Amino acid sequence: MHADQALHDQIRSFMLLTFPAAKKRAIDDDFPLIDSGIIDSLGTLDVVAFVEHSFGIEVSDDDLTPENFASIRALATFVLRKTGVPAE
Amino acid sequence: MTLASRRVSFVDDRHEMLALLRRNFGSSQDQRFDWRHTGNPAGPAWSWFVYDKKTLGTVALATVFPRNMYVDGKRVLGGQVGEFVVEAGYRSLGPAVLMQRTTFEPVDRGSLTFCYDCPPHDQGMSTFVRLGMRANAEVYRYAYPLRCEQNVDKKFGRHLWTRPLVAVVNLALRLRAARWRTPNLEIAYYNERFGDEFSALDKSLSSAGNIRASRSAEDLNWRYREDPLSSTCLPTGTRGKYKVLVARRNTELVAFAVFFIQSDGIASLVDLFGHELPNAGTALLDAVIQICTQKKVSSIHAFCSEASELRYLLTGLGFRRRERSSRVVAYARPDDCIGKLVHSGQQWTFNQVEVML
Repeated sequence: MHADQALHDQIRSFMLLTFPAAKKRAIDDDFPLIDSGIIDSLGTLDVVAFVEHSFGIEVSDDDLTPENFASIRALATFVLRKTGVPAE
Repeated sequence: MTLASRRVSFVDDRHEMLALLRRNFGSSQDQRFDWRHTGNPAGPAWSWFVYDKKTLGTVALATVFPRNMYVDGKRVLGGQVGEFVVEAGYRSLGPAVLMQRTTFEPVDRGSLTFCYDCPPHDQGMSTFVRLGMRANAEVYRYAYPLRCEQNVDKKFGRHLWTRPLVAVVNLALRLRAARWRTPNLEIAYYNERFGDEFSALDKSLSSAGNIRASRSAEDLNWRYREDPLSSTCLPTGTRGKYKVLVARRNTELVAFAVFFIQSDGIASLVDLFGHELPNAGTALLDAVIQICTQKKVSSIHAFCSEASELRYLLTGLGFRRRERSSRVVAYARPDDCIGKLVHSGQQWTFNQVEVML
């Protein structure tokens, strides 16, 4: 399994576990998490806590943009950029 | 997207700010703009735009409105955060957190002793959660039903057979409101501008141990007599003319109440303030109930924090506590002696007047 895919799956597991609305939808890597209402502003804070804790990164206020939280793929790209690992 | 904030000029940026306010809050913003931003006796407001550094497009707006406040008996200048807008397409935590931080500027500079925001829902708390802040107080809505037509219509629809039911319930609601008589206390409408006796009442009430807004004559005149929307009953708006009742003993002002009746038949108690509230306050509230009954108001709503004395008067007269309407979240400099008080040992005695913009 590609490291990227493992990361995507880890994020997806978190989403399914944390956000009840995500369980009812088939969220693929490009599913719009914010536009669909799965993540709201408080939900963003849960995601921030998750990525900071799981990947040892610090999310600054400037990072709190829709682009970084829009989908599982966007979030994975953001995590890889912050950890300094180039995407496969 | 790289964001930055800048101070808004109420002259140069007026059109852009008004356009943004209209898009988000409706057209009535124009009428109240000057009254709200520059006509306040506590001083002009501070507003900021958050903008995208690349496109220079405006992303968000927030304002801090100065408020004359009492903290532990000392009159200080506080600020209320409002007009917190993030444009559609930018509604994420980043711009909101930057905007929220920016509203702390007047406090950090020392222009204000503290500022407070009253987020009405959980989502509104997200910026504060991010900033490690928590609510200092909670404000609840209390309701006193006077007529049941709206509820019955909503539940069963309007039918011939519901009329007797409505009549019986309305009669029961009317009988519940027993008249409260307090010897030597006269309750009357007050239609003039507020004078020195109100400032004296404001000063005379000890506010040791609590945080509340000032009710000086100039604050009251600005709030209730000079608001451009308070002088007319708008046919489509929900805000009617403020009605003020005073309680006097031997002509001396003891307490006053402010309320308004909306076009949808709901009355809202904005404030109740004064001495001897268990007697004078209850008599004023009873008068509000009687007036609203005569005017066929369906329900009276009141808003107050847990520490407000109004809470006990409301529940004593049969008002029922409903949902939490907002939280109060305050920011103060930790090195400021009054700022410290804001976060410890003070009761937030807020009524609707402290929450409304």
